[in-house]
Amino acid sequence: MLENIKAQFEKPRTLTQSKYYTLVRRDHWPKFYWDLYPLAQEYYHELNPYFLFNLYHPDLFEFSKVITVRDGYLNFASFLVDHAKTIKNFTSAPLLIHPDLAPLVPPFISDLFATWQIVQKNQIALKDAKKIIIFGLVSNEYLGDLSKDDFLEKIKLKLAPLKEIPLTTKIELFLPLRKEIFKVHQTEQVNVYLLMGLIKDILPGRTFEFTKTQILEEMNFRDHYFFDLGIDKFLVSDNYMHYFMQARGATVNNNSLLSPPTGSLFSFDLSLYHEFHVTPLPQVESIFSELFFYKKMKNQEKNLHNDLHFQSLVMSLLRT
Amino acid sequence: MQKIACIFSFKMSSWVSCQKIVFNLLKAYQLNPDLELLNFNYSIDQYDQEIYQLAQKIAQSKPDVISILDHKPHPARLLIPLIIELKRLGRKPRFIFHIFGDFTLNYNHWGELGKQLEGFEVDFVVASKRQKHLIDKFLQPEHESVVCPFPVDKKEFFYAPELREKQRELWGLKKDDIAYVFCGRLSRQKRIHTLLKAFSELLESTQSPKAHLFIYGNPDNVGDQFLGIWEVEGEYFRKINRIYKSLPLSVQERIHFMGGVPNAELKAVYQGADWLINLSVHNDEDYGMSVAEALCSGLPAIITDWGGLASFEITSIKNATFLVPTKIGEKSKLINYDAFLDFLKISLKNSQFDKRNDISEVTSDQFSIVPASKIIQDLLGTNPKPFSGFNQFFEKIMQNVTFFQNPYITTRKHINTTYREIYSSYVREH
Repeated sequence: MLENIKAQFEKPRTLTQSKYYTLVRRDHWPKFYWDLYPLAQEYYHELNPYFLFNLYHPDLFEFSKVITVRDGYLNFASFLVDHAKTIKNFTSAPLLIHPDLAPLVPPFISDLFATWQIVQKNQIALKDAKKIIIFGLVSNEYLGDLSKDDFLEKIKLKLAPLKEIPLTTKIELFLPLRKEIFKVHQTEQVNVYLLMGLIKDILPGRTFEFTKTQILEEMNFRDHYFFDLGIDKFLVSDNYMHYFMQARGATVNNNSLLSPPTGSLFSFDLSLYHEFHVTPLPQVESIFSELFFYKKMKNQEKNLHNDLHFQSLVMSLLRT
Repeated sequence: MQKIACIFSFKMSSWVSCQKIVFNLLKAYQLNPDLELLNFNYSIDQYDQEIYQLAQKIAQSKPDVISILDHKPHPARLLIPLIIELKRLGRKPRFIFHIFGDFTLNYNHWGELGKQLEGFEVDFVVASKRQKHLIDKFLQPEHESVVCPFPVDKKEFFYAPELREKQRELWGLKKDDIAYVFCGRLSRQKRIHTLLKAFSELLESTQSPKAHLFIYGNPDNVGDQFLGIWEVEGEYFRKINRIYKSLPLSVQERIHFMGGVPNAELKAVYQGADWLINLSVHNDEDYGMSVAEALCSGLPAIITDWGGLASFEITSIKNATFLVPTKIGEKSKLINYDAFLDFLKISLKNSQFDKRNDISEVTSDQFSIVPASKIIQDLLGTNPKPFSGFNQFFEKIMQNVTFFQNPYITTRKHINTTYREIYSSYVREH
């Protein structure tokens, strides 16, 4: 595996390189990809960061010697139940995943996997930030259903550290509204009102600035803290907003490490401020058999990400 | 007393230099006591209804002159309803456009606006002589543009030797070390990759233990789209990082990536440094605000002889500026690498420290707010002829841009005549 990674790094050929832009038929991507904006924007490094659900043809798996998987719990689970038994027929490329996805990996193909971790050596504490950008995609899939007490409590807990910030800290809200990305039928949501209420309760009397996607044109976020309200990695495991902010000097509450992880096999700089490290797949109990059992019972061929019960199963197994 | 409606975005631009330009231009207008200034916010986050109301508000304020100080959002969205409103009220104010480097990115908007402006008095104000040469290609002969450099605030950037020692201490430099700095976006068209290679070659060829390079700014993904080079986020950073990591360790130790810093920190940076380097061959390089600020701080500079950067050449002080020759090559804009390397070698032996006050004075006389204010005052004293639209060359380029996916390159990705016809203005022998 390490040989593959090194070879790929030395002679990078990746799907997001601009010179191969026209090679990928983006109109073949699933429609929900576009609803994931801005979490799923494309970016480049030599180890080919990509969503497995966008690899619409087996040849694309072999395009690079490595794939850095960006999928969240749901799509990664859906991919594995569809392809775990056949994956070795169409690719030998190591798949680098976020450690939180490790419980989904079936033991019989664990040799295909390693994990990636982010290191940002200079991080600031929330209280030292000049500006805090509070971010959340306002949908149940990202924040949880805030009309339910347990999710409301989770977000309250998540917001709690903001109580301690000085009065001089500027606060900006970036809260794009989204329908439920993987639900076929949409229901009326009150998340945005509930969320604003929570933020106002935690930060009483404070003035907020609202920002929109023009934030993606800004160049410097040094001394900024990007406070993501996402409760887990259900939608994406590699969030573009985190990459974007860290690449411009911000600190993000995504558990980036302060120093290289023990057992780092390979690393490189993702930006002037943060690094990418490859580490072995952690030894954790696999929940794959439960997902596979569901698929067998359901006898559904593909696209389980659209299946409401499968979504609930993934959530209940991984959302603690 | 003339009443001037100043239109600009109260929100900060993502282009740091443009933020400063707008506010300094405003200061240049404010210096003139005979002007009554009315400021109007026109920003990217306004909805159509807000813009329509803004247009009404501007028209009802009965300005004599409407001055567009900003580049983003494009003024067409506001001015088209504004002109309709002005016509309804039977008013005909004069329009002044401060043109930025992105003019050539927005032909369609300008074309649309140009038609609406016909019959009004219109001035196009550009920041440098070469930008004038470029913009005049699109204008009727009787409507030449006027040069007014984007001004530097002398209260912010001036010769302040007392800041030097502390900055160099911060950098960990010895007294006789030579510090080169680059400040700006780390962008393909700013040739950071060339800078790294040349600096490495300088260290290896001279074996100098003194030279250090400090690079301020964050990478972008602008690429060079006119020449068919698109970049995805992270791509240019990885390119320069690979170059950097391929250099000998002894060279890497002398190259310091400092990231983005607030503008206020640059004051001390320019004092602590010995030379500014800017190798930009950017299509939008109509000026060079960081170069203007550095020179006003007294810092000598090695810059490309390209676009607006050429306007910073100081001929009255020997070796205060070195202009690296450039040309439009077959597939790319080319920098004379050998000349750059020679300038680096010369600069290593000539810190120009004793001339810094002179450099600051000479530059400030030309590029600060007072001279800009004078140019604007003189302009307001003139009577331009009514605007008769952009010329045929503009129409030709607009059609090319509208109908061709890659209007500036051939199918073999060679730079075509359209690009040369426009950007020949940016090289010395235009």
